[in-house]
Amino acid sequence: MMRYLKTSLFILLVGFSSCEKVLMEPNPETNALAIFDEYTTLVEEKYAMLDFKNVDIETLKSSLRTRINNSTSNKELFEIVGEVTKSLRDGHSSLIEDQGNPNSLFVTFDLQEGYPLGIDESTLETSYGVYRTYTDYATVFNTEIKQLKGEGVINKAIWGTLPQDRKVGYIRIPSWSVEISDKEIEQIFTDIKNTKGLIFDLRGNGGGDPALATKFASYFIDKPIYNGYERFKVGPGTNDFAKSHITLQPSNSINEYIKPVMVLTDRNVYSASTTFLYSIDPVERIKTIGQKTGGGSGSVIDGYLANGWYWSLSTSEFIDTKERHLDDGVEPDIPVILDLEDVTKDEVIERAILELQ
Amino acid sequence: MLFCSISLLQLHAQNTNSFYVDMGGSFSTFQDVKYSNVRYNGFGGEFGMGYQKENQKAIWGVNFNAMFTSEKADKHNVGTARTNNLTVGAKYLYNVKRNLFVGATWDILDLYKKDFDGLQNNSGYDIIGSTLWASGVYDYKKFRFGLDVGLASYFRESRGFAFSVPQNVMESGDFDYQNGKFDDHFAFKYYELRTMPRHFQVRTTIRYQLSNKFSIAYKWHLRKFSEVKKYPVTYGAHSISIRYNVFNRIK
Repeated sequence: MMRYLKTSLFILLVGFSSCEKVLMEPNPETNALAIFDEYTTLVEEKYAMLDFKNVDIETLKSSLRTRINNSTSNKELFEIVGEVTKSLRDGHSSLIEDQGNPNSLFVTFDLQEGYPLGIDESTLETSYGVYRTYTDYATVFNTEIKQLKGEGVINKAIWGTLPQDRKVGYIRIPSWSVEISDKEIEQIFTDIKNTKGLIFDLRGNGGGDPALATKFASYFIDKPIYNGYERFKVGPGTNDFAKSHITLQPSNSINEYIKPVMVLTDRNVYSASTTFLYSIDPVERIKTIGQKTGGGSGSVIDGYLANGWYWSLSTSEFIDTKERHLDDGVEPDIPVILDLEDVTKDEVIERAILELQ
Repeated sequence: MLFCSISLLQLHAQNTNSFYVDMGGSFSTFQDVKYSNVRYNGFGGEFGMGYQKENQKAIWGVNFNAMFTSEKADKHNVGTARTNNLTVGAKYLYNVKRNLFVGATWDILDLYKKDFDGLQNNSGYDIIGSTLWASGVYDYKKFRFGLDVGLASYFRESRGFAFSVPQNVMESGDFDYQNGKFDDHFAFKYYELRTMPRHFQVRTTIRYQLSNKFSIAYKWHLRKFSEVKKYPVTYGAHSISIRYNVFNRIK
């Protein structure tokens, strides 16, 4: 009987184990043309801004596909496929040959190319006591500055006042890729509550968690504010989009900050920082100052091609109340270029202080 | 998956009450065509426990089951998809003919969760909900054969066609970073009710009674559905498990 049982179970296991595979799509091929087709189909079906970026994907596909044949090497294929990624001019869209290898081939968009640096960390440290990395020296140098230490050495938040004007508050969030608790946010806004105006230094903040950025933004309003809409790709067709209209709700905190705010921007203000910016953009008493931002208004999705190459793509874009497409960045209300030769002061901060007088 | 809903503790007993524990190995497969046609497969374990009562007229019981596997892609070696499936269910089957019971199984809670290593916004995937099954059990000597066919599922799939939120959130224009509800597993607003055959689920069990205390079972579960037309999600799971009856009262 045991033999009969074992045979039955074995037959059933082998027999049924392929059952669901009958109902699955076949595994894709991994030859050069198949990989090219897989990636271009993903871009065509999922990428949300082909029109805005002026990318004619069909023409691009046709021209690039002819360059692929049986002798196309892996590196050549990566370069050809990477042409599609480059055409998107999108920092959220990337292609990486081997995610686990730091020397791997990769393609993404260089936001900084063609733009001067918008922030000088050493000037911020020596002239204002604002240290991006956690150090006790910062609070000795500037007794009115506080730091919220992150998991590594990078501060999650730096806030207080600057020596140049103790009546002006200062908050710097170097990245939104951190966890800052509601209690910590309350503490930050409690500490700057009695200032007459605020500098919110967003420079160098390349993004992270948009929900956190939105939470901070909610402290700057006292009533709901319509921001515009996020236009999502919801299906494979060219016109398969759906709009989510966004209205920022106030924090309703007793520490909300309803005073003039200058938001400092540079080219590396990107992704979740753009979420922060469009959230507060309609507020008249909040101005941006510095350089054009990097943009990156869309939500991002990622995955692997059949050969293991990593990809990421923007599958939405944000269009604000002025019908501006934000993905390529936005010019500030007050353009100011940092003078990198003069390390004694930060022209953007100085101008912001002046504007808040 | 809830594999232990159909079981036999004492095949020819008049009345039995039992509390049991299941332990075994499992094999799972997965494919989400929305993002790739590459299939994922992998081995893992299974654990379950439950209470069951049966007599000549009916079988009823409640159970908990957990399955854990670690899947790899068929076509490349990048990343692992850690898969967990937890279910809490109840069943009632009525004897309609000698050795044949029919009835219903209700998976009160069914959580299928995957974590894809290396990915960012797409690293998490889950399906959470509840399923009503039509169930049948047939006894033959020391064997018990079980079949469940999914009639209706009320559930939420965590990612849509192009973003890691449910498809209906995006289609309805409800997306908002201040709205944490789409991250909430129990935000029923974003649940969908789907019925067969569009939402196809089937489950089979073959159990052999080794002794009064022990039985062995092979179980299979298949689920296929598509919240985005022509972009189905398909997964299957197989397991072989040993059941130990912690107590087994026979009248």
